Amino acid sequence: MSGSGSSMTIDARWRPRPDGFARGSRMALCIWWRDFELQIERARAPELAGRPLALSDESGGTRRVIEQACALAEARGVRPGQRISQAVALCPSLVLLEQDPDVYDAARERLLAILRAWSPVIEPAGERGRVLVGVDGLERLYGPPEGQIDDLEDRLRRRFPAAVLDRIRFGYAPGKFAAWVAARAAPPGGRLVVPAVRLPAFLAGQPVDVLPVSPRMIQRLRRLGVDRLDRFVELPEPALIAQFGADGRRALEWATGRRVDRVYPERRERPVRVSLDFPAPVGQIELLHGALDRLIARALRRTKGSGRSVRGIRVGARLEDGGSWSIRAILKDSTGRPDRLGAFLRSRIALSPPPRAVLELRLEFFRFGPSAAQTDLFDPRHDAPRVTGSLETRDGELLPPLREASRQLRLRLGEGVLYRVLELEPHSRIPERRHALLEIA
Amino acid sequence: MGRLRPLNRPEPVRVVPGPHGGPARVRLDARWRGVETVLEAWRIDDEWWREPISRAYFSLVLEGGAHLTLYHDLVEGRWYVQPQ
Repeated sequence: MSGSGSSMTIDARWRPRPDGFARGSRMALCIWWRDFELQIERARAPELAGRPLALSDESGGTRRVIEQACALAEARGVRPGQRISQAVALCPSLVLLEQDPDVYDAARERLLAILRAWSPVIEPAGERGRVLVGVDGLERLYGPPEGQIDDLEDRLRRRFPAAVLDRIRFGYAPGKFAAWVAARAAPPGGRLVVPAVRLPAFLAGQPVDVLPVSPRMIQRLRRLGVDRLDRFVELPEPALIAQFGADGRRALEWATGRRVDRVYPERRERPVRVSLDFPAPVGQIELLHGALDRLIARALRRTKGSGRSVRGIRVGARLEDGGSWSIRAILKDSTGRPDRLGAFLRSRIALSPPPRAVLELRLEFFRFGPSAAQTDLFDPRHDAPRVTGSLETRDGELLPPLREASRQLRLRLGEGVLYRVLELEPHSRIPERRHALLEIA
Repeated sequence: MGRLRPLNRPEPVRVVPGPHGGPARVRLDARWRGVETVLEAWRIDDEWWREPISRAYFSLVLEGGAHLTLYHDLVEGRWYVQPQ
């Protein structure tokens, strides 16, 4: 979950797509629900209307902090990341709520389902309350941009309470960045449509902190007195590149409207979900670990058919006395090994344990990596005493299948054709000192 | 044990510098190519206690779209292509 949602990461990588939406959508509609989670809480408890609200973050263990604060609380000095005691001292009437991720995820799914029925190009954008929609070609269905937003608003109104919808903002512009900036500039419950011809003029009046770059870069620009994009675009490009590298160049392209990132349809993988009900509430972490190991084994059995390794994992729980808890993690290297998944999840749970006893534990694999199956060439079954991650056995010999492959290559191509990359000084700043090639004899 | 071969060893290259000191044209495959854009520029200054290394690196896009990383050796004043 994010705090105020005032910044955004643009996923601008080139991605080949085999489907019919390969080109993506140039025109984008950004739907931004600031403080989505707090709005959902307000809808659940109408008696909270007009009171300053904040969500607490339990992940710091005993050091509880503010995760998200509504505009009313922020006006009284409450900020995300602040200690609870400090926040209450600043705003004694603050209503502090525990997060209920199940409810927020369900509301987000409801939002996405409406959007998917409205446009084929949907791209979730980081936080739960922000989604980008490709609108190229939709004028034939719903009319001009204003009519499109009216139609979408009507659909949302049928599924969400009016009080919640009053906070939603729509930004309609060429590309993801401009659409997000337009949504940010729109009033709560309002909209902003920026046609392509007005794009540079519109961007010129925006503050520099709309740029999807590092906070450090924004801070440095502000220190230099560059607080709006019209002043930013006046900076010479070579100086920007020298100061900020590729970030500087990209930021300039966004700020001038030269760069337009298309909206691409999300790639939805079918998640693997398993769960375990406890006959009695479980509070002991060791019992949860045992249950988690069983769930990992069950979930991996289901992925075996496809041979995929696991990259994204969500662990959730239904808690005693109501409410829910969840953690979400992306592995740096995907794996299909239960011991690695178990160790990784245990360390994450230790950082952010369930606040109360657990009634039901759930595990979901939602992102997958390449096949977890080993190829024959590197199959450890060929050699039990193999050093982990190496092509050699403990006594320095090559693995038998690799030795045979090497022999055949040398026979065919001669000596000096097969090398292994050897790490020398992998973290050296001098590129040629990092690695060398070692001939496989 | 087999023989060791260096990897990513820099190769000398001829460069026509631009007004700001960065490369404007690069001689590759016996012909001059213009620099379309400088993607990134950075410096490495190291080992002043031994044989000082001082390099101004440039990540470039050449005319025609090819990417290239060059550096200007500020100690000896020569240009090199740096394979990455």
